[in-house]
Amino acid sequence: MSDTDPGPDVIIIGSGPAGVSAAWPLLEAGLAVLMVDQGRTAKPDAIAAEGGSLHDLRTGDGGQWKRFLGEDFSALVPRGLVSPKLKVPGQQYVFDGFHTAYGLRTDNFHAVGSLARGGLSNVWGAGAYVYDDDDLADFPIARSDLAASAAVVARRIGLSGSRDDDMAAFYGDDMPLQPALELDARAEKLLQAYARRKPALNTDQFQLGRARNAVLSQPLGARGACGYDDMCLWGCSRGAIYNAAQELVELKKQPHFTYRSGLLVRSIEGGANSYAVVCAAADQRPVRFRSKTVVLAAGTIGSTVLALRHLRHFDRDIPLYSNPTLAVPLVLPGFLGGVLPRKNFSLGQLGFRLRTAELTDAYAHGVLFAASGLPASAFIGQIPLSRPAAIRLFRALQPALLIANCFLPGRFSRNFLKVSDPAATGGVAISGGYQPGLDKVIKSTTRAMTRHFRKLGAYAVPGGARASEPGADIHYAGTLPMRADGTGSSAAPHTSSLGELAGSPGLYVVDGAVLNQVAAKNPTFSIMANADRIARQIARRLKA
Amino acid sequence: MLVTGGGGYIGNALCKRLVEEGHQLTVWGRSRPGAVAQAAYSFVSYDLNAPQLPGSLSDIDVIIHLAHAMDDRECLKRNETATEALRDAARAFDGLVFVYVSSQSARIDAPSPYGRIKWRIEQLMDGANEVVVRPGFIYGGAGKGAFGMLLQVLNKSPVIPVIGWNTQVQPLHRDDLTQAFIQIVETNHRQRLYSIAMVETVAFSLLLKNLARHRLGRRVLTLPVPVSLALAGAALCRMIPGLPTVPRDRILGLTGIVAMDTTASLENLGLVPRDLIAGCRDRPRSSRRALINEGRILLHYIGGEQPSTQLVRRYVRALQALGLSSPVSLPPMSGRWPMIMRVHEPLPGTASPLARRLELAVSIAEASPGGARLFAAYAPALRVVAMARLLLTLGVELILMPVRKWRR
Ligand SMILES: Cc1cc2nc3c(=O)[nH]c(=O)nc-3n(C[C@H](O)[C@H](O)[C@H](O)COP(=O)(O)OP(=O)(O)OC[C@H]3O[C@@H](n4cnc5c(N)ncnc54)[C@H](O)[C@@H]3O)c2cc1C
Repeated sequence: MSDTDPGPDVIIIGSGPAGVSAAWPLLEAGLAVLMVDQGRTAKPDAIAAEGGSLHDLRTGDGGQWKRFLGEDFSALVPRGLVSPKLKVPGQQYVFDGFHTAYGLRTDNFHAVGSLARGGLSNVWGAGAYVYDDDDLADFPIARSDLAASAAVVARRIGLSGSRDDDMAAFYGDDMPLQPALELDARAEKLLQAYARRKPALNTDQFQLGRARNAVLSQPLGARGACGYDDMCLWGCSRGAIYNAAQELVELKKQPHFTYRSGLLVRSIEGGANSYAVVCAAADQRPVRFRSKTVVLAAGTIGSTVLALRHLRHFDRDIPLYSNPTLAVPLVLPGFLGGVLPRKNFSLGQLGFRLRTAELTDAYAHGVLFAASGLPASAFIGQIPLSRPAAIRLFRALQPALLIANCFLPGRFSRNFLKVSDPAATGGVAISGGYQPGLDKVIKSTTRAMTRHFRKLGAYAVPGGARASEPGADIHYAGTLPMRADGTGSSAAPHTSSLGELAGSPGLYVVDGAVLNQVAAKNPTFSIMANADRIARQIARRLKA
Repeated sequence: MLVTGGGGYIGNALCKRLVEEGHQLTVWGRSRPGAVAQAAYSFVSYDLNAPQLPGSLSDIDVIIHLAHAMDDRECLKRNETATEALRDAARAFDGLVFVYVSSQSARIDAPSPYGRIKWRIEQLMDGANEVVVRPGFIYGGAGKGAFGMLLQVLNKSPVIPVIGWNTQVQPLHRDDLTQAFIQIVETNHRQRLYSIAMVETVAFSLLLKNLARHRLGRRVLTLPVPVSLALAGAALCRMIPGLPTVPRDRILGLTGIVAMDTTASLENLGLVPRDLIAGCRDRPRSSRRALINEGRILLHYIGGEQPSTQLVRRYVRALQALGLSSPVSLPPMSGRWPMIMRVHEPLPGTASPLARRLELAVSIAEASPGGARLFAAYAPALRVVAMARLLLTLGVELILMPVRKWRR
């Protein structure tokens, strides 16, 4: 590509949920799009997702250890208290190389990022909800600005859930939905208890309903519906769980779309509607692409680093928000010592929303998971008994267990990101922490969860609640917040309400970086809707 | 964790230990630490003479700088430039701890250029997180490097020339030094300078006799040789092919030793170096059989029945892949009755090598069809029976808890 070549209309960096969501509206407007991506894929010798249920695999396959532990036993390397999803041997490629590529160092922050085709959506939990006006309080946009885009994205990726329970309005009830997935027996029982006892409950403080998942209950395009194989954690063979890599297959069929992988974007040079995206190929050879319009969708950390390098904003801390999280195991005594289901769905079953005395102006949001798809060894080490006794206890407990994973608003986090000058180390440092007073909020949230669920006949395991390390939620946002147009005089890096980087016309950011704050609702679906909204505006501008 | 010079005599042991402790290890060096499974660390080829560092320090929290080029006089100086470059790169990262491994002979007026250069490099370490370690005379462990050479000589010759009339050394077993590094990395009250060795000095000839006797099962005579003669001898050795070459600096290094007061450093680290006889007695032994035995006991204990050989072999392979190649000590009767592990098992929440092995054994046992039967309640069973068995287990647990507590 020579220097005079005008290049494609738009270059998008990254093929995660944000990148593909920005690509569709641009292509539909007839614009030529180049997507540049590191785009790692699973190793060729990796164990592929196969049909068959977790039960069949576990009881029948002598080679199962390769899938669960890894042929190199990588799942057994100690990693602290993190989601079991991050340890799945066949999915390590999703995280590989990220820290090294960015020279990332962390202090009290569990940073997770991806250089994979489809990004982190290869492993995500697929909880998908749209921010409402309360969530958008700090944003220069309102729910109505996202409505059309949310509906488009929902149709594209397929959401399943309920339109008429107590969580429906909170999750967004004005978008196309597939029927909710079948409930696990424990979740079913809890939901029935909620319906029965509702008159006696304070539903102002606590609401329970069907989870909302980007998981198909009916086939969509090439993707199959959920088969209740309980393999969600280990790799779904049916493609029922949304993954941006699935959409890339469709995108590649579009005539004006080009996908270039194997390229690590290092910097964006130039300015004002004339940019060069500078990448390194596998052999370190530099590759450059030029365009008037560049869209950063490299994930919050990646896009922030590229934007700060472009602005030469070095060695200064900027805030990064994330959701403090809390996991509480709940026991339904009626199932103790019972039988584990052979068919199940192991992502979110139910969702709940919680207010407490410490959380009056905001709420905590949580998801309940069945424990049937989780390895027992993840729990056994935490039970204060000898191993054989702990195994026996967990065996009796597991059929009665639901895990409540609860998120608190990002404003309780206190993390900072700093990029240093490439002339020095060029590295990236993230330090993590919580606002003073979060301890109290966590305690009162745990107490409130315990109380509300007890009324429904589910008992928190004593001493079982675990708060996670900053960053372990993997919901990163707020580094390049959107400011209402005309109020962008501040020195801190920010973007316009269209995600356009202040001082750099034509350079847009469409991922979590531009969310002003991260609400207690997992953010990805809202990121996608926002990317769609921004891309529509970009298309309109470029067409004008 | 970054170890430079990880392929050497000290480096091998240190790297092995770091991996066992669960650290994420990067090694820069001329050779790999052969004692450590390759999958357990990442290796970058490193030459002190190269003008540039071979990699980024961005993932590193601690550097232990062992690499030291000994080849010739020119080279000695380059140690200084290379160390300075590494130090400067490290200073760009807040909180990165830099441990420089110096020598007991480091002094401004040391008789050997080695001692002088070590002293000069020590002066570079004046930053907040920079630490200097001066180990005594290091011995023990696998026969590699200078120590290996010493063993060779002790093994072959009945009469051993010893430099000087009454050369004194402060011995330090290699594994005690390794332990010291671990403590230095972990402590919150880090000193700037650590002098680490046995508190008392020992005649060099006595150390040699003990090594010959306890390690090699030989008796040797030592013959004092004046320094000048030793130097001439070493020069002669170098000219005759086939003879081991003894660097001039090593000989000079032995003469320039001034006793160090190690008490404060040892106290700071809570370290008690092993006594000389015990240190000399150690013999590297093959551990695969011990690992198989360990796997059989732990898997039997966890599963409640004789484990399949496949499962045991998988356990050993996992340990090797994770770099955990030395067996843990188990109670003597556990081979016959694995169930007595129930009394021996560390209390919950204790981090110990045995606790880690049990955790691995649990994961490995679970990931098998037999594991599915044991861990997961897929098969219908009478709930009363299940609950009664559970209560029995918990009852036994309650009775055993005080014994386990007391055993600690
Ligand atoms: C275990 C887990 C569970 C999760 N569960 C949920 C959930 O239930 N609900 C929810 O809302 N969110 C969840 N998340 C978070 C969700 O995965 C992310 O918010 C989402 O993937 C972000 O999308 P993105 O497109 O912004 O970035 P990413 O998914 O991180 O994609 C980044 C893309 O950019 C590319 N890239 C990055 N840097 C470069 C570079 N320098 N050069 C070239 N290419 C580059 C990568 O290759 C990749 O394609 C979860 C995450 C994890 C890890």
